[in-house]
Amino acid sequence: MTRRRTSLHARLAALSLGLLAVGLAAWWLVAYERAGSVAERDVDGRLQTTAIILLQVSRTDVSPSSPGAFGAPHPVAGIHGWRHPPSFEVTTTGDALIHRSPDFPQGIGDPSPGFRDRTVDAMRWRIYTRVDDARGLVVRVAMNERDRQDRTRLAEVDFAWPLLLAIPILAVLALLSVWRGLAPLRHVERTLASQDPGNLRPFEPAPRGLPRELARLVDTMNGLFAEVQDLHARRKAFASFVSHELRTPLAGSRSQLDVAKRSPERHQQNRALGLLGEALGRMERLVTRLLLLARVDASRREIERRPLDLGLLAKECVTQFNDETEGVRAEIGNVCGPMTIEGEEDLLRSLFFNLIENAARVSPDECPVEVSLEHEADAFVLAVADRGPGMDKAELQAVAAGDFPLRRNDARGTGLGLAIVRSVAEAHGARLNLLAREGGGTVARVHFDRAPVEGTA
Amino acid sequence: MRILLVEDDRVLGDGLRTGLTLEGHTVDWLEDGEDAAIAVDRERFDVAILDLALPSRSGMDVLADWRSRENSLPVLVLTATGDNAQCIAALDTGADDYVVKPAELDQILARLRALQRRAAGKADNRMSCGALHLERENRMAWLADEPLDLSAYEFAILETLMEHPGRPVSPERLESLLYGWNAMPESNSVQVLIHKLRSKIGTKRIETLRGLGYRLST
Repeated sequence: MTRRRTSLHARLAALSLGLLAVGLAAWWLVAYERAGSVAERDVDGRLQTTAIILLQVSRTDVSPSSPGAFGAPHPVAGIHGWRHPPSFEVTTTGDALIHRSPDFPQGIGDPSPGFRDRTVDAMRWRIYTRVDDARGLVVRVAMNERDRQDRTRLAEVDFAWPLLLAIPILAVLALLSVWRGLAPLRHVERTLASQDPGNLRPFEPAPRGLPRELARLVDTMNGLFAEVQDLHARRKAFASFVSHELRTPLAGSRSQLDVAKRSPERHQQNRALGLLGEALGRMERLVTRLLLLARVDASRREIERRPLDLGLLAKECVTQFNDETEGVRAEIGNVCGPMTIEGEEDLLRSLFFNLIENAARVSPDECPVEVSLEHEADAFVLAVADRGPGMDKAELQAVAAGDFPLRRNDARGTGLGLAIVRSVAEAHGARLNLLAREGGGTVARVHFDRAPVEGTA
Repeated sequence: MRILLVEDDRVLGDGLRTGLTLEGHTVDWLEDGEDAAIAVDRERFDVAILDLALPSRSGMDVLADWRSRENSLPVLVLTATGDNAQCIAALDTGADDYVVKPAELDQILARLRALQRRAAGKADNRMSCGALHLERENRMAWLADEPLDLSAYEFAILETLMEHPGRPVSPERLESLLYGWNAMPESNSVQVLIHKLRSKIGTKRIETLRGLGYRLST
């Protein structure tokens, strides 16, 4: 069962909204707390202000019931947000009542100045007492719990409204940020989805440029695309080469089969069957070599390595070649000391044989193939030289660029041998070079690094 | 039909030459592009089978060379590449047909007949001249609806004469048609074959024009 994957957009949106929710909740708590203390300070401030005003407007020469006990109208009634004006009483320092609002709580006793809380008749009051010693007046201003709570709620609402408005706006902004922030990723996704697997193109950068992290990802993918393209092109060329190389012997086989079927003469039939067998043998050898090439290309990093003496192997291959083939001989010069590398013996034998066979095919009978192995500063160099017609500049350039089999169709062969040599060499960390030889012919040089090949113990 | 075969693969070239010869055609086989380029200057062929991958000179080069010298020899291109672009290039260069290896001999024969037919401006494989009728496909000939028992050489001579009714065909042309490069005919072999043919279709149907050759009476 395939596990359903959530989108990155959804994850980031959820994360952003979650963080936003936590932030707003914290803000709400702080604001709520602040609203309470602000309301308290507000109440205390109002009590103080009222007390000061009352002291300023109070007169001592009027009776408590006189409506002119205050020099001005009640100064703090009807202000926005206050349900009732504060209750108050004005007395002399001798505790003689000058004026008292009807709802002022009775029996609060303590005349000391400042704020205090008292409960009178199950109602909690906040009381502020201010003394004017010069005039001998004491003012007490009080506000009950209900009014205080009203003020607190008002303050809370004042704090909460902006927060309530901010929640959807911030949420939308958070989602937009996520959407916009991931736009380059969507661009990469679209480009990737539009790629033709048979013709991978490098990524174009997003219109406003890619962020650094995605740019690195795109660079990595572009590198990968280039490798896949190269591999694809090589496989296509290889398939085309195989098709081309097999069609001719196949056509030869078919034509000889047609002859064998049509000819009324036994000797002609036998001859046709003999040629048919020859063509089949050629196809068999070709398929064997193609499979070898395919195996080396496929398992380039996984060949079975063990220590081998290149000099010894070269001598054995030269001897075997001379024993098994007629015509052009192969000669090997002096080999100085062991030349040990890590490699797979069968593959290296095919490398030696293909080089020697290639050289022998083009060499005149009287000119042996010259095989040598030399020490260089950091490499063992195998050289196989012939006196054949040589390769033209374009062919040497094609080999240097790794662009072969060459698909030549002449006595010099198709280049499949060289392709095998190159692949085996590369599998061993070696390099193949073909050079025009002074005096005519070609010399193939394979440089084997003396240091242990990467990946070996 | 005299066929120029240009194919460098030994087994295929041999198979095509032998197979086409068994079908009564004369095949001259070349393995090299340079040789093929000049071969058509010296000899007259009815059709050419041309491989594209040749040593020394590519088949495409050879074809372009022939056409540049206004040689209209019908050419069947034979190639190991099933590449569309190459097919188009070959046809545009002057090939008359294109076949990808491997191809059955019967298919090659049919294509060659089509090329020959087209070159002669014929609609089908049948030819007629008076009471004489000939069918290339199954290599049969009739005189007044009676089938003729002809050897391969006799059929080839009659076919060539019927391609040009009323016009003379030289003995050299008939010799090259019958033997190509590979066998030296007896000095009077064409005369002997004409004599045998006259005995089967009637003496007066083939006229001898002194110094010019033979002509089929219309």
